[in-house]
Amino acid sequence: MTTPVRYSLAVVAVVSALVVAASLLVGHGDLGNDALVGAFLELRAARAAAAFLSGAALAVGGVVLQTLFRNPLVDPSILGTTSGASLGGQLAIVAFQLAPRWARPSFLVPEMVLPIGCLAGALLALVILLAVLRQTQSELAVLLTGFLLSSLFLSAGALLVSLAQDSYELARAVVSFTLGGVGGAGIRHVLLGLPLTCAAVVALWCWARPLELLLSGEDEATTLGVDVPQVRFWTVVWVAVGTAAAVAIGGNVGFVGLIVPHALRPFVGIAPRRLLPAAALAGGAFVVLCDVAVRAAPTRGELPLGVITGLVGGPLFLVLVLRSQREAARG
Amino acid sequence: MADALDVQSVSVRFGAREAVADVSFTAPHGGVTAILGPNGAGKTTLLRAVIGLAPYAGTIAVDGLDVRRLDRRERARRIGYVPQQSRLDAPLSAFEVVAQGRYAHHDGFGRLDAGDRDAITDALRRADAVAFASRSFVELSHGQRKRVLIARALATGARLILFDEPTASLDIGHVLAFFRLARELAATGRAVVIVLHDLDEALRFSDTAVLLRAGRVAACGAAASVIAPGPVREVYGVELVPSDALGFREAP
Repeated sequence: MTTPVRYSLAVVAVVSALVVAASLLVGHGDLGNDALVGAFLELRAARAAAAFLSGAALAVGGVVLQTLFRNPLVDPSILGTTSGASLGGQLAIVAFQLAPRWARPSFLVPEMVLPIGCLAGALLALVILLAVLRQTQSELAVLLTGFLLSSLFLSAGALLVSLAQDSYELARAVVSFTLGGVGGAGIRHVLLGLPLTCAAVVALWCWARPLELLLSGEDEATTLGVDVPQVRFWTVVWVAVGTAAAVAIGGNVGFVGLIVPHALRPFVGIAPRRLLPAAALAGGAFVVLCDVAVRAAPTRGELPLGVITGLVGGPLFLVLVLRSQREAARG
Repeated sequence: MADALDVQSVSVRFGAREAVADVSFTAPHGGVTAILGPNGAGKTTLLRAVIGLAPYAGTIAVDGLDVRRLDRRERARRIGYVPQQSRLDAPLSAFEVVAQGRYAHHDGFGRLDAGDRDAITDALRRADAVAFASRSFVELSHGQRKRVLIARALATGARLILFDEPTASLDIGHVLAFFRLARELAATGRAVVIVLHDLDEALRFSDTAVLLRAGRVAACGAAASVIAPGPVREVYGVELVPSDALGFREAP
């Protein structure tokens, strides 16, 4: 690793730590109140931890998908992975609430079934996408399939929300999860998301070397000794785990996996073994920062996190598409 | 000592079409073997079968070992492959691209050690690519990229190096430099197999040649006997004429 890259990674780590620390100082509660300062800080720390985990998982997922598909325009939200996870989570909530009492042992709480549903949804989305990719390598086809899957899952989710209106409690639970955000995150969310996110980030970093070889295409990687189907299988599984954890914690937060890797590449390069740890830190800090913006925004209710990331990510995506078209035209 | 590459009765089918049919030849250590033939004769398909990218019937052995029995890493350590063009369009440095050649030398997830770095540096030096090792691969000229890909194949440590049309779109200086390197590799005991279009280059720089027509071997043996009036007329439908056209060699 070269010195400038090491320096960049250190800067990313320090800035991320400062952002998280600063986020503890922002909020409606008065930290001057000695009686409540502990409670305020605890709530904010849980919220910051949840936002950080969600961002880290999504940013790492973005790096891996961009490498796997050899396409800088993809991320878990653009490919429909987060929408798939979101639909899976909605179905899990509905199934849990509607299941007969005997099928719900006392130790089973909604926070436990949510990640399982999210994981199933994320996996389904990625498997469909890979099946399409076997038919065509076209960048446009991959993006269109992602958009199509995203629309399909969001429509199915909207249908589910409308069907759930029959029960006030159920509708409230599904709508609250669908809107996303880490406003209600507590220590239970963090404890649930922490092992899943850490496992996904570490596992994907372990696959960084073969992923780097995949940048040369599947044929060249195969001739260099990479077991391409194995790499594809395990990285897709771990991206699905990370995305499921992120969605279970913070809902459908879009574009993090697009914004963060693009912001980092000029400083740490494209090699996944360097970009992945930087993306985990910067992705976490970015969503914490977005959550601070949510808290500071002068709105009556709290904005969903995805609104802020969408406002930043949407225009960036457009810029990247236009740049990609220009480069393609130039040859 | 077994031949570096031993291809026996190899056929490759794409659906009903037989792209390579019952091809047999050997490539010895210390020699340069040219695979020749018109467009669509099956040259690249044959190469893809050897490197495990096309399913085939028949037997392909490297150093006497059936390649079907080699795992991916073992095969990568024994066969170095230089594609006509890399699909790499990401800004990895030339050093990082060459380092990809060391992946097969490690179990698990392939971290580089000091031995790998030495092998990479040596490969860069042999391929005359040290000067641009730290530059981004995508910013290099076509000839420089080719040298980086050759260095990557050398970094694998393989004793059999396959080149797919290495001189396509290279200027005359780089063409001569490439063949000098190919001869140097052969002189170190490696086997060099090159898919070529240019019969003159094949005649000047290869020891043996395999001439394919419609997926079958039309002629095989010493380069001078394969690139001769009879086989050339039969395969290409053209007359081979001695010429006093300009020739080139590297400046001293």
